[in-house]
Amino acid sequence: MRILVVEDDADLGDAVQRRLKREGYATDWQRDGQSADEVLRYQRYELVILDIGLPRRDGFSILRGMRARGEKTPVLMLTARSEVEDRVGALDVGADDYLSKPFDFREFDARCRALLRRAQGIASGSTVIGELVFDRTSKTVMIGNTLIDLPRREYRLLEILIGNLGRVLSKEDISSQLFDFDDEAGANAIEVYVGRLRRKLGDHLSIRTMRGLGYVAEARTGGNE
Amino acid sequence: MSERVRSLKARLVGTMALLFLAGTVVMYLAARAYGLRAADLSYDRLLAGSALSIAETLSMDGARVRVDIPYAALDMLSAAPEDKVFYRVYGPGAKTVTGYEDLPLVPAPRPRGEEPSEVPAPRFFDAAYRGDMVRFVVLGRQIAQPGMRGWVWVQVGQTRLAREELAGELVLGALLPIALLTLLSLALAWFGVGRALRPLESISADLAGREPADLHPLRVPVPAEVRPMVHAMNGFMRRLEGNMAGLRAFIGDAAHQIRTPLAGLRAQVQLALDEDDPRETRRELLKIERNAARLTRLVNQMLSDAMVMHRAEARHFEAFDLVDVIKRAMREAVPMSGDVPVGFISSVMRAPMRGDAVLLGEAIKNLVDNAIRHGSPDSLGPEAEVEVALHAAGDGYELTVSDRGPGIARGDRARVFERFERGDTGAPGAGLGMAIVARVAASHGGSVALEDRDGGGLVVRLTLKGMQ
Amino acid sequence: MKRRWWWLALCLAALPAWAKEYPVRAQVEGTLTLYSTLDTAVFEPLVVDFQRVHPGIGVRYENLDATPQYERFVREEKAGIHRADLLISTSMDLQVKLVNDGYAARHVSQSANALPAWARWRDEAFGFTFEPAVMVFNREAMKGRPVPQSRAELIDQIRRDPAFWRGRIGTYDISKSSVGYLLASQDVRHSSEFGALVEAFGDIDLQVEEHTATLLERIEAGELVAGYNLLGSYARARPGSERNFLLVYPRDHTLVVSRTVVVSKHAPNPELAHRFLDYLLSVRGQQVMAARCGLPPIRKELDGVYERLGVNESQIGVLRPISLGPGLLVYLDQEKRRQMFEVWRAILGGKR
Repeated sequence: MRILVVEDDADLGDAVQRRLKREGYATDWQRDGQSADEVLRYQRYELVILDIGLPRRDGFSILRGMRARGEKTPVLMLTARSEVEDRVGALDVGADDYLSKPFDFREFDARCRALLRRAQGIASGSTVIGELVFDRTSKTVMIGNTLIDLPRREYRLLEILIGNLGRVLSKEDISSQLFDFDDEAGANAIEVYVGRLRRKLGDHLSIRTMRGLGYVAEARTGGNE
Repeated sequence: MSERVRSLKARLVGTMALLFLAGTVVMYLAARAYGLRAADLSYDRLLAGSALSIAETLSMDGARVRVDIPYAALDMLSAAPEDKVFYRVYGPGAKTVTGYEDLPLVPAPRPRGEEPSEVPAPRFFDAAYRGDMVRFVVLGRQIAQPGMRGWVWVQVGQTRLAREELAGELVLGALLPIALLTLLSLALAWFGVGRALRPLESISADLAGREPADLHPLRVPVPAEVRPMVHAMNGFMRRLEGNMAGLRAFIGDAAHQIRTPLAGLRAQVQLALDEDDPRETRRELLKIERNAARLTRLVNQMLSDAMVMHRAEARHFEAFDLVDVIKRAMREAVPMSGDVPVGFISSVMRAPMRGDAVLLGEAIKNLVDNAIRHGSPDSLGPEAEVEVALHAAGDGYELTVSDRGPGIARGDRARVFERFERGDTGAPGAGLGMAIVARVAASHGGSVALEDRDGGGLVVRLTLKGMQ
Repeated sequence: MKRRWWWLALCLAALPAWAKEYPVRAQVEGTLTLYSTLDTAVFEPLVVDFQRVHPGIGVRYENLDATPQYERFVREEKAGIHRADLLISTSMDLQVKLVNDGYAARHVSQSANALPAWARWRDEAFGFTFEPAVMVFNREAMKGRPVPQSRAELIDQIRRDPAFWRGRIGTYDISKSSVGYLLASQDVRHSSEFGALVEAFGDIDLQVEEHTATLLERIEAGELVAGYNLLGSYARARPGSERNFLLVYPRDHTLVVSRTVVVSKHAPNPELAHRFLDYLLSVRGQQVMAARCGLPPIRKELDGVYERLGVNESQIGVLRPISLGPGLLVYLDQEKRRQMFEVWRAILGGKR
């Protein structure tokens, strides 16, 4: 797992880099935009921590370049600016998440982990959440060494949730991916499936119901990673 | 900002010039027609006089027609000194008595066999003869003799040089004053507009001469048409002055508010550095971390406050759906909210309104954030839910954010709305203070109120106007 | 084509033409053809001087009487034969008719603009001399007798002593002399006494001749006592005129003839023709004319009127220049002419 930190402030950059290294990630640290941009062209990373205000080339410009090249590497943008438009703008340009300075390192950890998990899921085809291993290629779900048997629909629902960890999914979002045109799904079909998943996986994966909004699946913070 | 607008002078004078040009063309055509007609009238009289004087001398000598052309008949025509003269006297059967035999005949002759009964008036016509355009007159005299009776015609013609010259003079005489008048008018318009616009120059001079911070109202005397503009400018400067005053106040406040916790922080750090015992050091560091977090929140709050102030003044108003904004704000607030349940209920499917979507979104997000943070970690289950509710109310909407937290004592509620007050919780939380939420509500024509929740907790009630 | 040459030969043979050539040898630009009623000898000094100024231009000078010249020119023009470049004639009325009928070309120059208004019509006909018509008396015969100073006085004298005057007054035969006709017609126009004068002439057996020279001869010889309405320039140019003649400028009015020049519209050498005309009207040409041709010049830049005429101001009556204009067409009218000739014949036929 290689992570690139792009931050020009010496103290903050040093702190972030050390924190990530302590967590066991291989980390590179670039101090200015131009060299970061060049590095990103030939080196693959699993996650990029990208500050916006950089010398020689700002974060937006680097991000735009990445996405234009088809780089799907998850990007977490940092900024000291408090313009609200920056946040919306960052997500529009293609950032996966956004954090304003100064931030709480615990929040920083959580968000990095979520992004890495997503990357890993795309890369290796399997996502690991604590003891829960979701393998897309073999279509298996395991907790520890136990194979969890899931009917087709539940598996598919789990796949959708794991692909959108930390994001609120509305019922319509889920049903459009879960059901075809000629499936008659009862109004409560999704609730039922969610309930079942909760029962089977609830210790490892938190699936929260947000009334009026939808569902959000997150890793249980009780565990590590 | 604006496209290149041509000079007012140029536009006015240009339009006038075009108008005058068109007018002049019309005048020229009219004058020329009139001039030719007038010239023709004058010289026709002469021509008729000449023919008449010849006709006077007509007589019959037996069967022969006699005519004794008076010298004056052709001499009078030298009133047109450069024109050629032609004449012909002819009798019954178009038989020439004397003169140029091949003069062009009268066009459209009278119907055959019908002789006019009275003395006919002279008839005028133009025809080409020997390479020139010639004006002819023809008049007839009845000759009566015992045994014979008939008509004798006298035709006199003259080339048109003098007529054209007279017509030309008349046209020039008509057009010259008009041309002069035109030039005068255009010049007048040019200078007139220049003068009229001079007040603008004095305004520019006034503004240019000011110090950057000088926003006192313009007191330049201006004509009525420009007064609304001056009025608007003064109003604008007044608002600007207000804005700047607000910023000055803010900076004053902010400086004060930051320095104190910063001083405290520094003191703690130095204390920790002096500490030998690692356990004590660790305790100090924890305190420092807490204070740093607090300071962070304070700074964020202040900056957000400034941003909100600016945006609220600027009023980037657009039409949007409040339901969308609420859902988005909640979606952003919800992750990392731990196990606290959050729900959204709405009595309307859509809530169209006009306002600053970004600002409202921020306010709502932070209310939800606050609610989640303050929510009691002790109780779980649906009762512990943070509830966001939207209702239509009057011509606007009512939005409530309810938590299961400790609430705010009635006596403290008013204070919470003052800037930089944080209530009494001590719990960490970043984002806008209630004062800022109140300002956002106000700039949308609404208000904020704090209430107790049934079963414990706080309800923040936000009232907003709908489509404005 | 052959027919045209035949016509030309016929024309040339049939008419009393007198042609003189003034060729040039070097740098020939062309040859001008002039039709003129002025005697060749009289006009020659002008041609010679012109060729001094314009050495490359040859001149062919054809001398004709006025009416034959007019008729010949019109005939040639109608036949499409364009021979003449310039036409010079004492018959101002015939020249005006040429212009009126569209045979003339326009000439504009500084010299032309300097002419008085009555000596110019349409910039196509120009008068270039200033020749009053005078009464010429035999000095000898008039000794001891009061010399009539005006028409009225002449009539008076005739009535008083018809025997003295009978058969001894001469003038132009208006049926043959076009200048005579011109002067007579202008007399009709201007003079209230002309009727009485004509009547008086009729009573005393008026003598008429075609040419001025003949009249002057007869006056010189004593055959005639007086010549009426003769061109004074001829009288003065005649040798011994001071001795023989007594010139009277009629006080009531003195007609002034101006010989007229016209450029043909279809002149074969138009550019050269205009140059000649310009020379003729120029100060130099006028000076030469005055000094060597015996023709009083028209341009006022040269000596005053009286000097030109060699007379004292007190001797002159009212000068009436005949002006070039459409008025002159009236007496060319066939009916008018016929009537004039009728009267004339009646006079000559003698009332007694």
